[in-house]
Amino acid sequence: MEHTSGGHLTRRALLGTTVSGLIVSGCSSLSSGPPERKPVDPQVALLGSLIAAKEQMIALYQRGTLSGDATATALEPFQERHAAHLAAFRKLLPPDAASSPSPAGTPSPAPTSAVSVKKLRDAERKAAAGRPAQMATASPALAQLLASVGACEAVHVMALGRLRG
Amino acid sequence: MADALAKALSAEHAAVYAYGVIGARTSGRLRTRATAGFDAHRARRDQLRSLITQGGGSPAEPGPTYQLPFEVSSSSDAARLAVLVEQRLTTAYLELAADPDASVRRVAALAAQECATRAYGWQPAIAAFPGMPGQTASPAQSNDASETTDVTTDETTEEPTDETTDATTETIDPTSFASEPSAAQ
Repeated sequence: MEHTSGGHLTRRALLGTTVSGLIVSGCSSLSSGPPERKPVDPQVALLGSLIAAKEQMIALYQRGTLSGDATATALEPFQERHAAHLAAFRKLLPPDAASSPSPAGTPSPAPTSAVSVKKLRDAERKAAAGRPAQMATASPALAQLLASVGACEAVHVMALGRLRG
Repeated sequence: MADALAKALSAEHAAVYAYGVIGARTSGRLRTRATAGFDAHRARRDQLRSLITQGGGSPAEPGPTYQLPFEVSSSSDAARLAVLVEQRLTTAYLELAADPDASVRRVAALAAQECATRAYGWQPAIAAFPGMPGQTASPAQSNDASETTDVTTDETTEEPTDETTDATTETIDPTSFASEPSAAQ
């Protein structure tokens, strides 16, 4: 497959822009917020919800691979791409937010029962459909990342349609 | 972000022409796919024109001369060109996704998803971050562009139209395909 190359829109540039913005916002919050409770940066809150949703998607795929058959093997690259999305979201968190417990809060339970490809496909479709609304309040760099992640999820919907299970 | 809108429009102008060529070099189901792509890009082109006009700008017209990035003499070449067009457009829409206007961001997000899925329809390979430079797309099932299935629900099943034929009389600006987006400010 042809690769896009040579562009200035590097992930590093995107992430760097957002992280800088988040750090500046965080410092501002420290100086102006009430002493007893630091206000939550909206971007950090958004990232928290994005991370939580992506963790749930990965947990769903873990259940999708429980069967151990050929379909389970085919699902592994999908899960890996979601893990890459999760890592990209986490990178955008400022250091203080990244070191504290995730706003995602609840840890994912151990996978117990398998899920169908159809259920995974529905989850992907829902995730992709929700990206435009999330982008509305995101920083410019996070909005670009979300557009790319949503595009990947939309492709997943198509690709899962070619799998049996 | 007016620049990002202009870049996206320029890329859509080129895509409309490219799909005319792609349609002329394909047949059967691939021709149908090319026609659907042509119609989709023409619609996005018109939408971008409207956005630029609404913002007080003047949308650019297609360039007088264009040049394809490589010779397209077979259906395989046509599929390769289609993938390239969709990938470059995905990148253009990622740049537009940083626009301060939420409605423009929405257009960019949806268009990026459409471009990425069309690229997959031509060549079933998946990148974790479509549109991001330097992405490595892993083959999903087959790299044979002729092995396409009809899972692209957004695509129409219309026969190629006269407009597709007319579009082949235009030309492609290679800079539209080679344009590089800038990072969000």
